[in-house]
Amino acid sequence: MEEKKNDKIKIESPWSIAFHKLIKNKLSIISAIILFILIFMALAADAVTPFEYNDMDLKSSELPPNLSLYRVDEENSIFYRGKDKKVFHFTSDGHYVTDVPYVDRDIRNSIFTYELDGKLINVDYSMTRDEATKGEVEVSIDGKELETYNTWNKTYLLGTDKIGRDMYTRIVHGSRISLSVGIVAVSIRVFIGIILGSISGFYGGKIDTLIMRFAEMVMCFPFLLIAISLVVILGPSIYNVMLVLGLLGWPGIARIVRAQILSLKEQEFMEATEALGIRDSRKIFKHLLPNVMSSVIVFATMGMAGAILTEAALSFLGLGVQPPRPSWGNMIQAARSLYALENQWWLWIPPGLSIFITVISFNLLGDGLRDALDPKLNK
Amino acid sequence: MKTYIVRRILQSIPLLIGITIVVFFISHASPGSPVSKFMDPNMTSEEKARIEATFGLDQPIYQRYISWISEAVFERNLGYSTLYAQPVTSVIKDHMWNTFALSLFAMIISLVVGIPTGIISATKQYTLTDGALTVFSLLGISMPSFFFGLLLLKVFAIDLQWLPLSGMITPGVRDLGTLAVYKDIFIHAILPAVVLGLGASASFMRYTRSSMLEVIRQDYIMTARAKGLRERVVIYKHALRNALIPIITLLGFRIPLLFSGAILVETIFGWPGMGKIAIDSINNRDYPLLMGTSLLLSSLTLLGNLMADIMYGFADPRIKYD
Repeated sequence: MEEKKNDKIKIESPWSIAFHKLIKNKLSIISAIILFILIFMALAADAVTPFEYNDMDLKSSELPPNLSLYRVDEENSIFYRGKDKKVFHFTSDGHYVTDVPYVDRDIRNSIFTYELDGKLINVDYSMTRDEATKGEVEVSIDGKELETYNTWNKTYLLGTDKIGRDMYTRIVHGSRISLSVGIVAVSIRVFIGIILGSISGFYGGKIDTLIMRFAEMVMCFPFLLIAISLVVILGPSIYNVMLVLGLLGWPGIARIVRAQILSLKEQEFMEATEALGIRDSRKIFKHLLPNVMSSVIVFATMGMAGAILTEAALSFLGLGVQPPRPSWGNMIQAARSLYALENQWWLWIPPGLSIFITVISFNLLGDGLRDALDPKLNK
Repeated sequence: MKTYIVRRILQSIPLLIGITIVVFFISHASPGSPVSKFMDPNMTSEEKARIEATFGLDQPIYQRYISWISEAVFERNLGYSTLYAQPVTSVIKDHMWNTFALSLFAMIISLVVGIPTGIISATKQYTLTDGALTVFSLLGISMPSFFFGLLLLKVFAIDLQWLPLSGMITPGVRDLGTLAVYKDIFIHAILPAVVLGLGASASFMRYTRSSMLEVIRQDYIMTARAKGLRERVVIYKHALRNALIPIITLLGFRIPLLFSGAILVETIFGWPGMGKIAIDSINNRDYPLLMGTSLLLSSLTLLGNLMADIMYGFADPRIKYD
């Protein structure tokens, strides 16, 4: 910061000073890059995913991303699932081909026989009886045990869900939901917050008391509880979530805008506007608000994080985005089944991490922006 | 000071009235009828009307509001929960202390974690430790509580089987004596309290850090150092006292959270608290219960803000009220 005094030959605009400060903050840059990738993914969701988000195939449901395959021959392998004694045909490098129905079964000994390319494969599930799906399973052809190896699922990069939809596709499409809920909700907040905050700060008096009491009242409500009640009244849908998050979140911005305008309007440049006799609306929009924008930007960035978190929570409770539309929150609902929580990590950990990464990126960027834009720190 | 307190209380009254109006109308705008569970399609409309009349649903809405509010104020009666088939006040009483116990535990965790890390972070500003702690606090703010809860459940309750999966008390423990009951509740509370506590510790840490940074720049700290006091005494005895003042405000804001708890965390861990009855009341269109819970929680928030303001004045005599 001390260097700045020496090379003050060229006068930089406040925005470019802020920009240069921001790009020195590594964490902010990383999070900005992550957010750019996310926005790109959300915009190009159809192009970067192999399936449609609601393409379902009950035959290929609940396939994990990390496969332990049994090699049948050079090109073909199989994957078994002990839970429902199903066998799936994969190429040896991990591409899904189809499911393999059994041709014969010996229920007493839990030995199922499947046919692949004319070869009869015996799978002995008897060891899995004790503990739901754990224990060794013997896979053999003519009594010869098959070689087992691990590989990644190349068709379904993040596995498939309960009704055979590709998790990777759904997660990418989920970014659309999260980002659009965030953007719309925050825009509503900023719009209401700026209007009410500037009216309150600029005119003062009774109208100020009225608006600020109202803001205080909105802030008193238990946020999630009121959000849930409102969503129930309006009906659970993505648009209502946007609306509710927007309508409940404005007091923070309004207070900041008001506080700044209160101090700004005492300054000389406002006396000058008085002398020039310009309209109030012009004073507010042309002269006061540009000075408030930096705080609003910081607040909005952090607000994105909060809105995305709340949307995820509402969807997790089944009150937000409705299926079949994918939202990270409603995907995590899968983990409310004990079986999925225990055995099917790919159903809920990737969407959870997606929320986490998105939210922390917005928070880090907001933090960096605050450091960069806060004029108090420049001194 | 006295006039300030009185004025502050008087200011809260219109807010409280506003809250009751909003809570009442939100509850009544909800689709579905709270008495539908007492009805079946074979009933005649007269029978249905009689049931509605029993619950006072035939009156115009403003009259229902007035009777609800006067009952609440003068007889401490918040109505009758159709879901629990009990008065709302006793449903709330049954669950409130469960939430309170859980939240108190969580608050202790958040203070024990948040304040020391905040102090360390401030005294080592711009070092690696500070950076790491700042990132840690952002992790705490950014982690969705329900996802964090599920992760902990997966690791500690399912894979390692150290802690119970859900609920507050193991069936049958009540026969083993009071001590066993408390121990059982404690064990059940660990995971939800950690989720709530670590989330909150992040904000305590950030507040402590920034207020500590402000305090240690002041002249009297320099004086203390110039006197040759040890750094530890300077920080913990001289600086900390003033740095903790804003924390009091934060604590005031957190008081209502002691009762409101966290809807999500209670849902995931099956904790029978206020969050659970809130969700139940919404899912079952139990207006009286929903109104009672929302009203209680919003009034507590109001009270928390009020207490924060007043406590702030006591803690910091430099603050002047006009």
